[in-house]
Amino acid sequence: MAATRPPDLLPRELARLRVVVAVPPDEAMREAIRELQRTRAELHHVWPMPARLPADADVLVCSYEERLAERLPWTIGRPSAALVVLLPPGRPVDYRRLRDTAPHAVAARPLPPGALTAALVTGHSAFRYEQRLHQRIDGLDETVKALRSIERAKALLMERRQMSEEEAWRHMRDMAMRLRVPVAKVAATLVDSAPLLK
Amino acid sequence: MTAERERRRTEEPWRVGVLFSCSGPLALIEQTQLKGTLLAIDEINEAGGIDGREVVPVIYDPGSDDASFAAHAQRLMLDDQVSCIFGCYASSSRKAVLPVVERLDGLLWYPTLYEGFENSANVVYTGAAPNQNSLALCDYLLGRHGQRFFFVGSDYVYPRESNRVMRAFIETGGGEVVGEAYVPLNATRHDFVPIVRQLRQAAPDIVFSTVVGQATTFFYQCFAEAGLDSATMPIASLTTSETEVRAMGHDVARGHLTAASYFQGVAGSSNSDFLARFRKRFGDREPANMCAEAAYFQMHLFSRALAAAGTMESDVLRTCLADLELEAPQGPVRMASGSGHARLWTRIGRVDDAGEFEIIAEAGGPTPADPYLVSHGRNPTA
Repeated sequence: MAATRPPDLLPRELARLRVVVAVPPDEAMREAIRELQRTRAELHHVWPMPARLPADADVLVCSYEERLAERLPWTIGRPSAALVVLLPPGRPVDYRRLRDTAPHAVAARPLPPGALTAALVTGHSAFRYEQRLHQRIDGLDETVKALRSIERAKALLMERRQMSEEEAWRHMRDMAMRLRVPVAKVAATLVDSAPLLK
Repeated sequence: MTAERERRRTEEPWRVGVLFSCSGPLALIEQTQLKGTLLAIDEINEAGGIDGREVVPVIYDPGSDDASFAAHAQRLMLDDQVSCIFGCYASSSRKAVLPVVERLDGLLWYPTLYEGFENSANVVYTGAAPNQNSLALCDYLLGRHGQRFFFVGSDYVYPRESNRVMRAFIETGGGEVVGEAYVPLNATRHDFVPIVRQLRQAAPDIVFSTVVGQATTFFYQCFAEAGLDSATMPIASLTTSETEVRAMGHDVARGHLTAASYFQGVAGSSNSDFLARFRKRFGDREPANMCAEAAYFQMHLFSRALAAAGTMESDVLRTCLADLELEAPQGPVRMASGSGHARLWTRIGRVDDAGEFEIIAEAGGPTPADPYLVSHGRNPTA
């Protein structure tokens, strides 16, 4: 068994993150930003809020406003960064709009010590998980599409060229090997050119 | 960073999680994976560690229980703060660990053949997918032993899924499945009595077995005791390795077949070196097998990726793992560029008089994994 060691309170990946903070710089916020600096993340403070928030951040920390969604560098559903929304003190919040902006974490100002780091860490983790799931789904979609193309192409060859299933399969496989492309690509091309095969 | 903190950090060991059962019905085979893992860790540390830092395993015994695998994976990631877990034999245990490593962005290094139809960014698959073992086995058997297959399996996710794939291969190849029977994972000798009776009655040309763990011994022994003969009705398997053969006895295993990426009889200095070190560490009588070999080479793959990454963060490790090549005991293997699967060797072995697998068929080079069988006409999902 390993010897014990002091626990890591801050996740390692923080030091590699580019964080853009678009929040009014009052004194409490300046303190919160100083706290974030201790995480060794690369910080950029922008204010006033730009019409379009930068697209190269890993985390966007934004002050809540009704039309925040329009300032984001993505359309809702496929974020390119973790979104942390800070609710301004003493102003009503449109919770429906807040929900539909799809933040990964929310905190209310004035921020107590540690709250911004906590929101950033959990928000970024939720965002990365969402991203990995998206990638897995994209991969599955591609696979299903490839399987479908191969089955359709096989059916076409069997019907139009009177091949057996095994012959149709071998035909596509040989072509793929000759052209050095995946069988799915050969199949998709065959399906696309089906009208010409008649 | 202060000099003191810098020094502490550069001497701090790389901690990795290890989850193989030391108890329960799968302990026999999972212990060989533990041995492969520990041997590789010793070699890495004897060679000075990675970046001068030692690899230290945190080892738990999940006791062949899926829920315990999941609980220990969580404990490893949350309390022990490891990001890499080397472990799992049964597919059901892999499926139990998967949500944990996916949500917490860990990497499960999985050194076991499996049924395919999975491709998680949080798993490194170093055992054979169906196109790397069952497809070749099916072609070989249909060509030489006959058309009529009988399936016998342990009752859990791998045998059922694997048989679904195998049935499609057999039927497209012109063969037929004349029977299918399952026994509990912790089956006893008694459970195989009715199975052997069914086999005698159905008289298939080939028995395809996905019986795993301790039960493998009982199955082959009952088969032999009933007077069934490997010359006329061989048992073909993807899981029966040198370890199970040793447990059941040479006479009982003689003539039966297994498809795997690795057998002890693979030629080449990479394998003879591996076997020499394995025997030196664990004793002359201790057999290596496909699972020990995969567990061994995947630890060396990890070591190479970590040396390039300089960090245990999964994102970085994944990037460094892509396209990585390694001279494994089975021969050169290579990680895919866009997934956690490996190019592996395909071989068929037959148990000889000494209880060793004689390699009777072998692919010309390592085959890329095709977990969804996209590039195989005999697609079971079609």
